Amino acid sequence: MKTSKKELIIISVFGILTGIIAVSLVFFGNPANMGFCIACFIRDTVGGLGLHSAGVVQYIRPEIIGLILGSFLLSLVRKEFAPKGGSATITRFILGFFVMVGCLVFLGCPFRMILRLSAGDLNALIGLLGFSCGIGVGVFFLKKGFSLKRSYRQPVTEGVAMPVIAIVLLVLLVTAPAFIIFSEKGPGSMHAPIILSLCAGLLVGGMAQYSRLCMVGGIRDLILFREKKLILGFGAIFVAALIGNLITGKFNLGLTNQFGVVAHFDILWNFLGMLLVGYGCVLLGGCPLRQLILAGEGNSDSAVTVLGLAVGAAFCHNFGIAATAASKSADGVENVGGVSTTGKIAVIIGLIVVTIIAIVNTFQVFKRKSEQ
Amino acid sequence: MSNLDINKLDARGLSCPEPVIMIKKAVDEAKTANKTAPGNIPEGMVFTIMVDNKTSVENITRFGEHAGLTVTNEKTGDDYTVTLKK
Repeated sequence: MKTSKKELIIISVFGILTGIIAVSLVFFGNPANMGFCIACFIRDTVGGLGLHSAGVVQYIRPEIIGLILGSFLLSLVRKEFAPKGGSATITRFILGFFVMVGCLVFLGCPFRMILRLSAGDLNALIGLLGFSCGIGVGVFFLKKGFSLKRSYRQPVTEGVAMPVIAIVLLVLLVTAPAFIIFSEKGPGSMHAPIILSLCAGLLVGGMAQYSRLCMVGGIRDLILFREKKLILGFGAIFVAALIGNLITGKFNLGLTNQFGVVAHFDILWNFLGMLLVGYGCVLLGGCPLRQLILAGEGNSDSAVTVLGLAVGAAFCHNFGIAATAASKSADGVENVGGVSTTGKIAVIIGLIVVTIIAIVNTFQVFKRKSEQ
Repeated sequence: MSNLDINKLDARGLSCPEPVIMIKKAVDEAKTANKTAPGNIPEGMVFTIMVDNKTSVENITRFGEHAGLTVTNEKTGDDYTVTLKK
């Protein structure tokens, strides 16, 4: 595909700004390599609402609120806000659920994978390999005719539901009523000031809406059409975050030395976790970041996917599916962390379910009579 | 809604990247069917595809220009008709 110079410059500049913002959020208090992590932040928010009880990952993340509202506001300005939905709703929910399982077994979404890689965490390189393989499998089905079928115009109430939920979350975050839970230790307790996180989310949400930035789309379009636009955004985030991490002294190259940065060293499950994410996201048409942005633009199919991600996050922490991060105690005792048997089983079930969804929607196993 | 014929496609309601895959398939089929200059899109050939979002318009435009086609689009209500000419 032919991309204009202007488009390439815009996506590069947006990628660089996003990378700088991500590193800055860590500098101002977010957990290591977690300037942005859509999966982790949805998981923290779900925990903040009391839907799971993992005490160290509970906080309503303003970045998520900002991403949705940033996309919503810019889509209104650009006249691109369009309430749409009705395309394979439950299938999207299930795919969202298992994408979250993959993310929390790897310990990060595709966005965080790039940020972890930019800080020298080579486990993220294993994740990137798995992610790319998953996208490759998904592209195979796309080429064979995979489709979740058409969406249709919806009432405005459907389109504004997710932005309204974001505003309610913001009110809950600021007023902090008694039923909202904020972690007192662990990653959930680490965060940049609310106003900074919110503005970062708004800015990145706006830029992602404008540029269609998508971590899955980058590799998918490169495989499908030799299109480099989206992957350039990916690359720009990596380079900017890499330079930022080098400047702030957060760069630590290695595979089994990533203690205290919310990572584990299990190569097979880092690979398979991200394979599940890449596979599921291609079928969904975009990464978790893109789903948030589309939900802000009024797409209720993406809003349902975000709900699938949220319920997936609650399950992951209520049933011990999420991986344990490697840590080192004050007296130097190392815990390498890793993935529980339940987590491994969940990933395998996820791969089976996603494959069934891919086959059924590619080869039209259950065609309606009117379509035959 | 259904696909009208090989050169007149309806991708309204379909999400990215399905509309581009549809137009790519149509272009590939036209290349294969070209007996005078095999592997090339026949001169004067016109493809039209209807979509309902700007992202698809941008993606199809990029694909079409790369394939050596002249691409224009027209907005009608909530939908866009993208025309690709050789």
